[in-house]
Amino acid sequence: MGDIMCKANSRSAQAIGAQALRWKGFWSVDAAFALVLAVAMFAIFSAMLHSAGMTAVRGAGDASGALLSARFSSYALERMEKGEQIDLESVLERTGRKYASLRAGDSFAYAGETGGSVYCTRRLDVQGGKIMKMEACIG
Amino acid sequence: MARVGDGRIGQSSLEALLAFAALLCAFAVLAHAARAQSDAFASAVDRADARTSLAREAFYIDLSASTMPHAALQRSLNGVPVAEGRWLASNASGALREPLFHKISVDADGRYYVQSE
Repeated sequence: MGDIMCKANSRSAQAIGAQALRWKGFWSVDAAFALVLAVAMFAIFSAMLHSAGMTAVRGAGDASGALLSARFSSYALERMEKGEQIDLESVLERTGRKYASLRAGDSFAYAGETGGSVYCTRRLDVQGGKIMKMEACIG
Repeated sequence: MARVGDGRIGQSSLEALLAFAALLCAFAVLAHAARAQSDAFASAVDRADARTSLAREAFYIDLSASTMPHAALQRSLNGVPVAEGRWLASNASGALREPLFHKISVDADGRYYVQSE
């Protein structure tokens, strides 16, 4: 009889212990750590996404600036071949940029002020039978 | 008939329910934030794509104007000429513009012409 009572008490204690463990497991350190990890991963992926977007925008801006300086150099060469002067102020006004410079041989001219990124195109041209170095920058 | 422990079980269920609701709210907030981030990323990539294609288009236009003045561009343009043909605006976003070193004009058939100044 005493043996039976002892077994019953033991089962009851086990059940209570299991319930307490379940309750404790619900608020365990592991669960809290998993939540922290989930939030941290989310923050990291968000930052990566934002960084990737900004990189794409910056890359497009760089491509645009590089192509603009290439076009500016062609425009300058075109004008030089016609023997026309290049008004850098009007170039700035036309392009909406803040800085433009032109180096042809030994001569150098610029307009505006360098504030941000400046994109340059260097090329060779033949002027009067002579090979001439030219650099057109815009920023 | 009430038994010992019933109140505890009820309390546990309520707490579990509240915790589950809090978890659902947290998931909803995270999902909303993720959607906002995703939209911002897609918008940035679209803007970058539009700007790159517009810059390329402007490059082709100025190149054509230099090499073949008064030539008609047979292919359709990605941008729209604005400000008397001195700027090329994006079809997708009017705020996105590229300056041109040559003027372009459009004829009655919708073909664009480039011209040296």
